[in-house]
This record gives sequence, structure tokens and C-alpha cells, in this order.
Amino acid sequence: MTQSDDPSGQPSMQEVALIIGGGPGISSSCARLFSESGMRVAVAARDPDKPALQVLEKAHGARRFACDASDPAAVEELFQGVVRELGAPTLVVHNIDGRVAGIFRKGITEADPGMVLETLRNSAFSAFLVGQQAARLMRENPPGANGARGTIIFTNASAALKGFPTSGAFAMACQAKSGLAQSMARELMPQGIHVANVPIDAAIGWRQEDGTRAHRLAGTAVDDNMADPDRIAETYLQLHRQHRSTWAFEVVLRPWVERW
Amino acid sequence: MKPVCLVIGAGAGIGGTVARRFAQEGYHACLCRRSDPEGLNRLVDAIKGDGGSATGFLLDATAPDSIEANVAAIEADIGPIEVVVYNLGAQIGDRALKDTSAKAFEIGWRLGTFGLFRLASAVCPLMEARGKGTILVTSSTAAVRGNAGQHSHAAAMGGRRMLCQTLNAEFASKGIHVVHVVIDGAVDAPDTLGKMLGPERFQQLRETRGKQHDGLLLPTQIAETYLHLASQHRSAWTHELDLRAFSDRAWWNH
Repeated sequence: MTQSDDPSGQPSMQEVALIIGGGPGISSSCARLFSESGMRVAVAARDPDKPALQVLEKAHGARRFACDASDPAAVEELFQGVVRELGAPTLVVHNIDGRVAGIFRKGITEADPGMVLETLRNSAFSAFLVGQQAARLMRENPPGANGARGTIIFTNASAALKGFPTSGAFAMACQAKSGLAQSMARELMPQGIHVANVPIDAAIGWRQEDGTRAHRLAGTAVDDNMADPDRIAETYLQLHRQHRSTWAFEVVLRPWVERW
Repeated sequence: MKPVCLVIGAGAGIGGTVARRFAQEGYHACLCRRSDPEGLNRLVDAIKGDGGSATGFLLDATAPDSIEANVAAIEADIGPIEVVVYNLGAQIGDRALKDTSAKAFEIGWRLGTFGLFRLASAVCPLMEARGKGTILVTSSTAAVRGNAGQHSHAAAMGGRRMLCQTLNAEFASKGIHVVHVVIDGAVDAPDTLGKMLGPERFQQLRETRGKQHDGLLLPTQIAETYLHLASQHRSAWTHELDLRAFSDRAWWNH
């Protein structure tokens, strides 16, 4: 377990994980697993009062932070707040999809330029802001047991691998995020900071109140045909724990029956 | 009866270390290599010394019926093969086209691609009948990049990668998880890199880039990721993965 510096002067033996972009899916699964694995967990979202995040706080002690991750000042303030209240993070997950409601299924001739720009700001630009703050902090972390000063994981999507029709804004956002992650990995990995890009090449079905797993548009998961965010979180944790002699950069995750 | 982890290409590097790690998790490790029975026995004894179970086989993967007979014998005498690690290298060093003989090219293909095809043909029906199985394929930078002098190796490894994709396309939905792992850098492995460089240069490389520098991939750490891949839940599988040391250049920057 990495020792992180606590500004109060009390060294904490607990690692700190920060998840940016919080909802009921991957971020909740990560928060639960990281917390069960002994980390102190912070979850940031535009609206930190979402029910899923309140549950994380009550059941798992996750700290909630309000943050518009497309705003440079807000991201800087978020990292300062996390350092102040929990300690310097050794694991940062950027988990923002970024699409605005009106941009879904818009052909290239009908997509609204303002919405396209907003999608890019929410996704790729916020990934840059988060990556920048995380890198600045992690450079100062002492190396942990696996030789790393920290791990930065970018959740990505199928659109990072191929451009789908009527999805130009998201294709731009996801491929920009991939390029950023690749460039950051080449720069930061030799400095001891592990950077990973994780395209989830599938619909994600998260656990509903009735115990089934479902996706808002794709319906109910049958026979594990949708990615299970609890299982995605297991791979995120494994990435974080990889030894620096043997790091993975890009990990595409998909259900066994997914066509690709 | 323990499930079997079958490793084709079990030297003192990735293959032997992965076999040992899976044996620690309760698998019966079956270690196959072409030569050096003493080295093979040392690996098997080390696993037994851990309290694990293992069997060693001398196997020439280019000989007719060798892989097929080996799979049949293990299934009959030892247990169901749940995990297969295809770990045969085909690196012959950098050679210009005029220095690459037809025979060298063909052996590269036999080890790189055809052996995996034969192995898959033998184990996939068994795994399909049981509804589960994992095939972990060690591969290399040459699978994604044709560097100078790598005619035989790159063609063999590129073929290996595509074969992994077509196997997944047919068998993933039948419960068989096939993973192509690009080992994108030098591995701290005495039986492969050590033999290619010779003991002196290998030791020098370990002093300058390995050991406390962590600049050589460590087989023990590769084994941790192989174990994770084999334990991934079917709702969230990885099919292709690159591994490299933190300080190394990635294949796309060469």
C-alpha cells in the first residue's frame, strides 16, 4: 500500500482514489471495489447529490465532490479539495462520456456545432484537465510497492476504435481522448506514472434495484451479453496494481458474445 | 481432479513462470518444451516444491501430431485443459531479405502461426463441449510492427494475431476466451533473450536496464497479468493487450 502525504502532517497508510464522472455504472462499481480494497475514495460529478452517489457515501464512505470537469478552475479546485480532505490520490479515473442529450444520433449535416463543441469540452478537454492535475500531483508521490507513483485510467468507448455513423461528435471526443492518453503514457510512464486507456466496446448493464442488469437503451442483460461494471472495476484495480516492469496501456473490454 | 494449465514453450522465462503461478492457484501445470530435459525437470521440481502439481513433456511443436497427441494424453491421463498458454517464440534475430532462407521463413510460420492453429484445433472442441476455456497467446512487437530484418518473425507473429482474432470470432460466444498479448520489450528470460545475447551481454543488460531499474519485463509480473486475464468474467473480457516496462518506448513510437 502506498503511503500518501496528509497535509495535516499525519501520514496516512491508506491510498486515495479519485473518480471523476460519477453515476450508477463504472464509477459506482469502482468506488465500491476500491473502498473494499482499503482505499479512501472520492467521487466527483456535476451533480454530487445523485442518488447513486449518496448510496456510495452512506454504504462505502465515499466522499462526494461537485465539479464541472470541463472548467479548468473547477478541476484544479477539485484536486486541491481531495488532497486537503483525503490526501494525494494514487489512482485517478476519468470516467466521463460527455455527450449532451441533443447530440445522439445526429447526422453530420444536422449536428448542432455548439453541442459538438460542448461534447468535446465535456469529454476530451476534461480528460486533459484531469490528466494535467493528476500528473502534477502524482509526480510528487513516493513510489509505491509496485514501483509506481500513481495510475491514471481513462474510461473510453467503442468510438475510440472506429467511427460509427451519426456519431461524429462522440467519435471526435473518444479518439481525442485516446490520443491524449497515448501521449501522456509516453511522457509519464518513464516518470513512474501508469496511464491506461480502457475502451469499453459494449453496452454496460448495471445492477438495477430488482437485481437484473440493464442498459437504458439496450434493455436487460441476458447471459452476460452486456459488460458488468463490477467486473470492469476488477480490471481497473488490476491495472493499478500492475508492477512497473510490466504495464498495459490499452485494454479493450467487451462481453464474450460481443461482435467486434 | 485438478484443472490443467498447459504451457507450450516452457523455459525459465514467461512459460515456466506462468506455469508455476497457475500451479499455485490450484491448476495442474503441464510444461512442454523442445529440449533440455534437465531444465524442464528443474521447473517441474520447483512447482512441486511449492506444493503444486506439474508434469513435464519434451515436445517438438513442428513435428506432425506432436501437439495433438500431447493434448489427447493430458486429457486422458491428467485432467481437463482449462487454460492453454501458447508461448513459442519465433525470433531469429534481424536478417536482411537475402539472408532469410525459405526454410527459416517457414519455420517461423510453423512456430508462430501453424502451431497455434494445430493447438486450437485440438483444444477448442474440448473447451467448447465444456462451455469454457482460456487460450493465452504470448506474442511480440512484431505482431503489430514490421521492423527491419524481421521478415520471418513479423509475418509469423502478424499471422498469430489475426488467428487469435478469427478464433475469438468463432469461439468467444461458446465460452472460450482467446487473448493475444504483445510483449513489447525485452524480457528478463535466461532461456530466450539470455541465449540470444550470450551470458555476458545478458548480464550486462540486466545490470543496466533490469534488476532495480525494472526496465526489463519480469516473467513473475507477466504471470500476474496472465492469471488476471484467465480469471476475467465473461461480461468484460480483454482480447488484445500490450505489456511493456514503464521506461520503455512503445511500438508505435519506434
